[in-house]
Amino acid sequence: MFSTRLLLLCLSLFCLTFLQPTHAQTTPDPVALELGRVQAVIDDPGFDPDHQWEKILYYATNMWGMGRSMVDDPAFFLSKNGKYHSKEELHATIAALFAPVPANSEEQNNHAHCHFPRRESWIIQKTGLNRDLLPKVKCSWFEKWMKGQDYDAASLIFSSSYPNNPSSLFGHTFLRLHRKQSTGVHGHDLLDGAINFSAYPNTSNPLLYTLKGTAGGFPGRFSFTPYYLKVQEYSNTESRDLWEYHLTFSEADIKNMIAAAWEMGLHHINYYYFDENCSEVILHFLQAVRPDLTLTWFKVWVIPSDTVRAVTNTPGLTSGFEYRASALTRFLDKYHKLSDSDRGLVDEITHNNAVPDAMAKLAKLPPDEEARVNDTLIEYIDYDEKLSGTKSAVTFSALRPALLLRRTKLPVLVEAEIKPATADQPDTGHETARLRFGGGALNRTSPFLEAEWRPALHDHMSSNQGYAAGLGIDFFDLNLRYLTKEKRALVDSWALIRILSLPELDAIVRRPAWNLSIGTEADYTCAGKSHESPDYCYRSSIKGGAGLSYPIKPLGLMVFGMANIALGHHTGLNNHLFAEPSLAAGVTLAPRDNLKFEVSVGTAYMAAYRQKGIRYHTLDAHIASAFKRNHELRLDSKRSTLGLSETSLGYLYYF
Amino acid sequence: MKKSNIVMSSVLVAAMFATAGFAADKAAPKAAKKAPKAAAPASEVAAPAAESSSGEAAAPKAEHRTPYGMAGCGLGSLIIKNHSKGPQIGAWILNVIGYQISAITTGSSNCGITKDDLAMKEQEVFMEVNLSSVAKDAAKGEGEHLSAFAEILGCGQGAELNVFSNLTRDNYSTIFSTSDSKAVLENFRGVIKSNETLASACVRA
Repeated sequence: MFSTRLLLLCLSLFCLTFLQPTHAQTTPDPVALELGRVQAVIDDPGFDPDHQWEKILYYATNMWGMGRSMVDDPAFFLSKNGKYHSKEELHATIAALFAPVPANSEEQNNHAHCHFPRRESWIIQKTGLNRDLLPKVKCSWFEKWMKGQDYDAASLIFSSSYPNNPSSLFGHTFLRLHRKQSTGVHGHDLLDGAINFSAYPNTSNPLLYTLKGTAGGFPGRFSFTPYYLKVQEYSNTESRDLWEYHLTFSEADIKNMIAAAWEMGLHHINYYYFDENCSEVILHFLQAVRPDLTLTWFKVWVIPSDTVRAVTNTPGLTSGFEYRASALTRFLDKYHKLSDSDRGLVDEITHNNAVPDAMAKLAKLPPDEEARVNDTLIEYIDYDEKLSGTKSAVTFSALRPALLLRRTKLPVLVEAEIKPATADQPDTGHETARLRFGGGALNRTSPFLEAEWRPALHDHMSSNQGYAAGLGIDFFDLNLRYLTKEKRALVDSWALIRILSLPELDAIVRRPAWNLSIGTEADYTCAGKSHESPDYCYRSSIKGGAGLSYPIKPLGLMVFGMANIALGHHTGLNNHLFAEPSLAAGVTLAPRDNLKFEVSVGTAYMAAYRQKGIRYHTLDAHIASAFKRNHELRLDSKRSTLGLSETSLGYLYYF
Repeated sequence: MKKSNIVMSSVLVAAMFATAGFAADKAAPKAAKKAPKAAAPASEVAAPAAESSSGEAAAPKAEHRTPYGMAGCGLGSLIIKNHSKGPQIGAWILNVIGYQISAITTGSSNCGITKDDLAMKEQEVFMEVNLSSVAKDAAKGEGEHLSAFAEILGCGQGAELNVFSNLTRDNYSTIFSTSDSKAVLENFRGVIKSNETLASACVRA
């Protein structure tokens, strides 16, 4: 197909070059004149000063500072060097728009007019190209695709991260296209369309999966699906709240969005989690729709919530948001509105899961109350079973149908709208990259200065504003230290990943607390062997554990306990591998979202090959105060019976 | 000496990490078995790009037929993957970093089928994707999945919607006697035909 198009292009250029003079001798051909004029316009050095054309082509600066299109499918480009030379591609596009039309009606679909409607609309707008002088082409594929679809508005959708569901720690962003007149009519938002960019993995081997994903081995593509599909996927199956930020796009913008989606179509962008992930590509897509916008900036890592902030921070681009509660949120909302005794009944029925007993107990309640308890039970079951589509309940296979049947005999209740907690609003959170500068002292005698760079994302001591409470995820956290007395600089710690989840949930939906970290850190006691402070060794490990977290709500306290196991390598143990079981318990006090105190104690036993086992205890204390959205102060103190005593104060800047 | 140690340590940890990722993912092969199921209905509507989130993707092969265009147009093939309850450790390391795996797989036909076919398919697809939610709304007597379904049938506005909701509620046990979405759809049609108002209002039923 591509070669056919090239051939057509060459033919057209040939025709134009060679036929033009003969025409010109008699009457000047208006088409050739227009083509010449447009070419002159784009060759003007002052044309397109803000590089909008590059946005149409998804140009971006990559990690190495090179500008090129993110699109990796050669069929997306009409010129040989289109991926790297936007001007060449612009010339080729204009020539292709003027190219002769194939007689075959199917073949006509390969004409640039059908294939690249977004490019065409931009060129017409910027060069004043006379549309009437372009060849008449019938785009039957596009017409078929658009038939019956009429959209006039769009929203940027953020699906929240959700603790204990690792696949959703970062959230996800996509777009919703509102059907004409669908807004305002309750219930029909579900029939809107969704534009989503995601990777299409072509392996199920987890090792290959990880490697390929990292190296851009999977193609990323756009898809266009009904919005209800996304609602089932996120709200019901994964229990993630959806935040729908209404974009103030005109109807012309929406037309351009559809054209851009069609034009991008099945052409793929290799999916890299660093710089070409769903969030980054959605921002570039919005720029292709509205090239006057600049939403992207250089960042090592673009996180879905960054996408939201990039859009909401652009003045006038959004007008409020709608909120779609997930299955868990819907359940908790109903559960907390019940009386204490009804909540007890819900706990009892879900625990016993005995149908006749449950129905008998429910029947004793007044009808309205029974309806509310019934609804709460159903929401619980749907959340617990991750119900969507044609799936049937498994654990509650008899209870759910019985409850639903009974529900048909109870009063119809007016559902109250669920208002989101303002603290959860994703656009209000701190930025995701972080620098920390500070200093402290080791063993009270050795002062140090330190600097930390953490590209992503949020740790559990940071302010909860805009983030799920009790969840921390850090990637590639690097901390450097300079020991001022010894005049020695060193890597204090480096973490590939660090996750801590301390869910603040009610008993009925309690999930385990858990943690995982992979990284290397300096051990200033060299596993207790060094008493000539400060020396240091390196300890590298994979550490994970699980336990319980329990909120004591009236006091704003959270207590937690976890059993962990670490496997790793320690330079202080003659480079031997070690295994280290440990226990930790602590308490977090958060009088406000942005002020937190935490104290924890731990006990560990480090066993290494051919070494004497080492038992030690630890005491950690942290205070974090986010005095502004992107500014925070932190005081950290660590003690261990191996001889470590370390205190540091730092200023944290999120950007 | 120390510098080489930290490099060595990091490499070791990276290797352990990769192994852990490999060992922990028992969920992926299970998910892959779902793929043929996804592909079957896609071919039924001559879908050039059958997409599968976990199995072998067929998309590139399909591109020979239609070299460009927007995916997801053909709603004829949708399945909802079964989600295991626990976290799928192996797959998530990429998910954690913004890598999205779709829980619901769409076979995108890239308009291999026409919009008229779609209108007929639309109700089937809607019911396949939303059955558990529609049943819940029907039992309660109202809800957005129920009213969206009524809209697809052509009777989603005002008084007609009320009649539709009441009738659905009264005939709940008949309509939802099965978890087969096509049978449920037929049951709906039967009930609608039995009601004079709806028989004329639900024009697309």
